[in-house]
Amino acid sequence: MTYLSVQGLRKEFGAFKAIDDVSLSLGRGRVCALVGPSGCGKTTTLRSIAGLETPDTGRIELDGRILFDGQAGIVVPPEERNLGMVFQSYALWPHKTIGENVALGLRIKGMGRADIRERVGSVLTLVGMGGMEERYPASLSGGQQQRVALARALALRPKCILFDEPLSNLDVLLRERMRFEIRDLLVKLDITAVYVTHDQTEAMVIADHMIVLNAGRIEQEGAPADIYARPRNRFTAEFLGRTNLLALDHATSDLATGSLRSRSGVALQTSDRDPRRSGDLLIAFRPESVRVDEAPGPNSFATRVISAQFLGSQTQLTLDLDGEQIIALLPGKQLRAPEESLRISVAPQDVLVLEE
Amino acid sequence: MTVQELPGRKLSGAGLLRSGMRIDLLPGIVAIVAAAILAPIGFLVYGALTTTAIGQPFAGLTLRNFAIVMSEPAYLTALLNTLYVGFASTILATLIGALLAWIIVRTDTPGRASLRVGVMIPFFLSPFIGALAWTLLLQRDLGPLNLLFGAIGLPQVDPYSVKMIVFVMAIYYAPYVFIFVSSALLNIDPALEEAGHMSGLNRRQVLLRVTMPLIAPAILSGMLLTFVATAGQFGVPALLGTKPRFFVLTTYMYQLLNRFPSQYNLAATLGLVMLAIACFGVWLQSRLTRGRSYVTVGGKGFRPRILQLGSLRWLAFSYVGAFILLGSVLPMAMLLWVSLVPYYDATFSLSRLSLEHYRELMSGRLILPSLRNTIFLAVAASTIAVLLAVALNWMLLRTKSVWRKPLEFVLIIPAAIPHVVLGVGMLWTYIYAPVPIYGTIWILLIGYVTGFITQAVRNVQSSFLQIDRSLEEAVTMVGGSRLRVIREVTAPLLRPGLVGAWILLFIIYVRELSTSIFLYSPGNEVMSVLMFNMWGEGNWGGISALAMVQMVLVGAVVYLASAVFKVDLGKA
Ligand SMILES: Nc1ncnc2c1ncn2[C@@H]1O[C@H](COP(=O)(O)OP(=O)(O)O)[C@@H](O)[C@H]1O
Ligand SMILES: [Mg+2]
Repeated sequence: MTYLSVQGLRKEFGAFKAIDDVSLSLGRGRVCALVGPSGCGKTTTLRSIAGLETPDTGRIELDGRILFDGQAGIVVPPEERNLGMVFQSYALWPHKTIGENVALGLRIKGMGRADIRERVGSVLTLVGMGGMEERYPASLSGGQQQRVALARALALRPKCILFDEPLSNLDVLLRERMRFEIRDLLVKLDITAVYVTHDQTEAMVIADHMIVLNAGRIEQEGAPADIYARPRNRFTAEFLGRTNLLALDHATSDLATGSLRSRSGVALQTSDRDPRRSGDLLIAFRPESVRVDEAPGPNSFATRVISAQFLGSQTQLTLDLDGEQIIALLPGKQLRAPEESLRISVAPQDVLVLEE
Repeated sequence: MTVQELPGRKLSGAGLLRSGMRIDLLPGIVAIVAAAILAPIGFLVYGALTTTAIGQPFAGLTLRNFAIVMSEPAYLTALLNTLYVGFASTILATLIGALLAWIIVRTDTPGRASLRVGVMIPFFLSPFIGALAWTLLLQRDLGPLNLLFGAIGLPQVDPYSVKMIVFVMAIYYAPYVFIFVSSALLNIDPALEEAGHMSGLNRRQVLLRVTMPLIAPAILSGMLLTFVATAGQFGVPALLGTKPRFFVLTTYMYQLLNRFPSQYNLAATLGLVMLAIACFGVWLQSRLTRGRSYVTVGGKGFRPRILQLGSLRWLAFSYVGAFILLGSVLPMAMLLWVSLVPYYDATFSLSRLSLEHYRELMSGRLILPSLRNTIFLAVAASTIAVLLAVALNWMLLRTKSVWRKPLEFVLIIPAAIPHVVLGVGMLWTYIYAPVPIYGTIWILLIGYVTGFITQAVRNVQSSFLQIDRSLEEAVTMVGGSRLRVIREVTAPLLRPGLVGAWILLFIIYVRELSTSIFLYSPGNEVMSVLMFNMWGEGNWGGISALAMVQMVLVGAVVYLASAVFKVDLGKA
C-alpha cells in the first residue's frame, strides 16, 4: 500500500532541467534514499515534496491526500503538508534555545504549555540531548546540532520526514555512528522518510529502497543490496564503488551462454546470462571479488603486479591483465613486489554485464 | 476524507503563488519608489530641453541650453573645475585612506583600536563642518594655524582657495576609502600571502604582487565612489570657493537658481551633465570590479598577519595621529572655542568664556524650529528608508517577481545622482505635482528618502544575505505561515542590521546639506541650512555653537549605537 507517492515530477530552472520525470512510491514506515552525485537534482526533488519548490508538472500524494497536482493546479503550501525536514545546514534558529527550537512547531499548532514541555523533553531525550533545553545552538557541536535538528522534525510527529544530506557536515567517525543511530530511530518510531545523500554507504545503512539519480533522471532503483549486486550500467556501478570495467567484444561473446571476451582479449565466464541487452556493453567485477588463486581454472588469469598499497584492513593491488589495468582488494596485509606475476580468479557469479 | 475537501490552492502562473505579500503590496511600493526616483530626472530632462521657466506653458523643445553650456567659458570652466576637484581630492583621499587602513589593520602600531575610532570621526563630522572649522583655523591674521605659521616664519595660508577645497575634501572623504580598504584587508586569507612567502617572495614583493592585486578592486571601488561624491559635493566648494569665484557645477547651479531671474533651465542642463559624469563613474565602478572581487567584503573575516614595524611604528603612529589632529581634534577644538567666546580675537584666555552664543541660539527665532525639523526629518526619513529597504529587499531576495530587474536598475540612480541635482529636479517635479508639498517640510522628507534609498537597500541587504534561507524554511516546515516566518526568524535576525542601517542614515540626514539647500523654504530650515545661511551673515559664534549642537547630536547617537545596540558603524 503506497503511503507517499510521487509521479512524473519535473522542474526546470530556466531552460535547465533540474529534475526530469522523477517518480517514487513508498510504503508506510519505509525509508527511501535518493542518491546521486552533486547537482543531480536530489535536493530539488526533496524540496518539491516539501513544497518549498513548486514543480512544473507531476503529482505528489501522501496518505491519500494530494499535496501537489500540476494538472489540476493543486499546490498545498508547505506549512500545511505535515512533513518534517532535517536541513543540510541544520537550520537551527540561532536566537532561540534548543528547547524553543523544538517547541516552535508545537506552539504554532496551539499545544498547551505543559504538553509542549513534556513533548520537548521526551523528544530531546530520544535523540540523546535530554536536559539541554536551555542551551543555544552556537554552544553545541555539529553532531549535537544535528540531533536537535532531528528532534525538531520528530516533535510534530509528521507523516514523513525529509532528510537533506543530514550528515554531510560531520566528520567521518561521527558520520558513521550517526548513520546507525538515525537508522535505529527511524525503525523504532516506524517513520516514513525520504533520505537524500551522496554517500552510497550511508544509503545502504539507512534505506529500504534506493533511487539513483543522474542529471535529473532516475538511473536505477530497488533495494540497496540488489542495486549494489546488480547495477544496470556504468554510472550506477561506478557511483556505488570502484569497479573493474572491460569493454565487451560483441563478435566473440555469447551473452546467452555467458562466455564473454573483452576487446583486450580476456575471456571470462559469467552467470549473468541475459541476451536481450544491446548497445555498448561492459564486463564488470568488483575489486573485492578478485581472489589470489594458484591453481589454473575457469576465470583464472596470469597478471603482473604494477603497484601495491597496504590500506589497513585491506591491501590494494593494481594489476596488469593482458594490457588492461585492474584493481584487486585483498583482505589483510598481502603486499606484492612490482613486476611480480600473480595468478588471480573471479567467480562467474561475480562477473556482470553492464550497459555503457 | 475525499481529495476534493482538502485544502489546496490553485496555481496562478509559474511560481507566482508562494508569496501572498507581494501580490498586493510590493508592486505599489516599487511603483512609488520608481516614480520618486524617475520623476525628478524626467523634469530635469524636460527643463534642459525647454527654455520656458517653471510653471510656464510648454513652448517646444530646444537644444539651446546645451549650446549655451557648451559655448560659454564660465560653464566649461565650472565643468573642468569639478573634474579637477573630483580627481585631485579622490587621489589624495585614496593615498591618505589606504595608508591609514594598512597601518591600522596590518601593523603593530600602538593603540590601533582607538586610532581606528579616531580615523572615523571626520566621517561623522561631515565635510561641511570640516570646511567651516578650517575657515576659522586659517582666518587671515587671526586663525591659530596662520598665527603659528607666522611665528615660525611661514607665509599665511588662505582658506578660500582651490588647494584648501581639495585638502578638506581629501581629509573628510579619506574615511570612505579607509572603510573599503580596511574591510578588504581584513578579508584576505593570510594563507594567500603565506603562499607568496613560500614561493620565495620577500615582504615587499608579497605586498606588491599578492596583497595589492587582491585589494585593488576594493581600492578602485572606493576611489570611484569617492569621485562621484566629491564631484557632487556642495558645502565645501560653496564655503571655500565662492570668495575666489572658483565655481564647480554644484555651486554654479546654486548661483543660477539664486540669480534674478532664476535660470532653472540652465541649472537643469548642468544637472544632466553632472548626472552623466556620476553615472559614468558608477558604471565604471561596477564594470571594473565585476568578477574581480577576490575578497568578499563582509565575509567572515580572517585574523590578519601583523607586520612588526619596529621603531617605524612610532612614525606610523604619528601619521595616523596627524590625520586625527587635522581631521577631528583641531576642527572640533576650534569650533568649541569660537562657540564659547563672545567674539574670536585670537586671544586664548579662559576668563573670556561665555555661553552667550548658546543663549542666543536658544532665544533665536530659528534655532529651535530648525533643531526640531532636523530631528524630525532624520528620524522619519531613516525609519521610512529602512522600512522601504526591507520591503524592497524582500522582493529582490525572497520572491521571483518579474519586477526585480527593473527595480535593481532604478535603484542605481540614487547612488549616482548628485544630491544637488536631485534637489533641482525635485523642485521642478513638486511644483507640477498635484500634491501640495512644495514649500513644506514633506518635500525635504521625500528628498531625503529618495536620495539615500539605494544606500539603505544595500545596508539592509547585507544583513538579509546573512540570514540563511533554510532558517526561514525551517519555520515553514514546522507549520508556520509567512507572517510567522517573519515574526519568528526574519525580523529578530534582521534587527541588529536594521538598527545599524537606521543609525547610519540618521547621522547622514542630520548633516544633510546638498538636497536641503534646494528644497527648504523659510520656516523649514534644517540645522545645516541654517549654518549655511548664518555663514552668509558672518555670524561665526552662532555657527560654531550650532555645529557643536549638531556634533553632540551625532555623537550621542553614535555612542548609543555602540554602547546600547553594539553596532559597529565602521563596518556598516
Ligand atoms: N533555484 C535554482 N535556480 C537555478 N538552478 C538551480 C536552483 N536550484 C537548483 N538548481 C540547479 O539544479 C540542479 C540540481 O540541484 P540540486 O537539486 O540542488 O542538486 P543536488 O542536491 O543533487 O546536489 C543543479 O545543477 C543546480 O545548479
Ligand atoms: Mg543538495
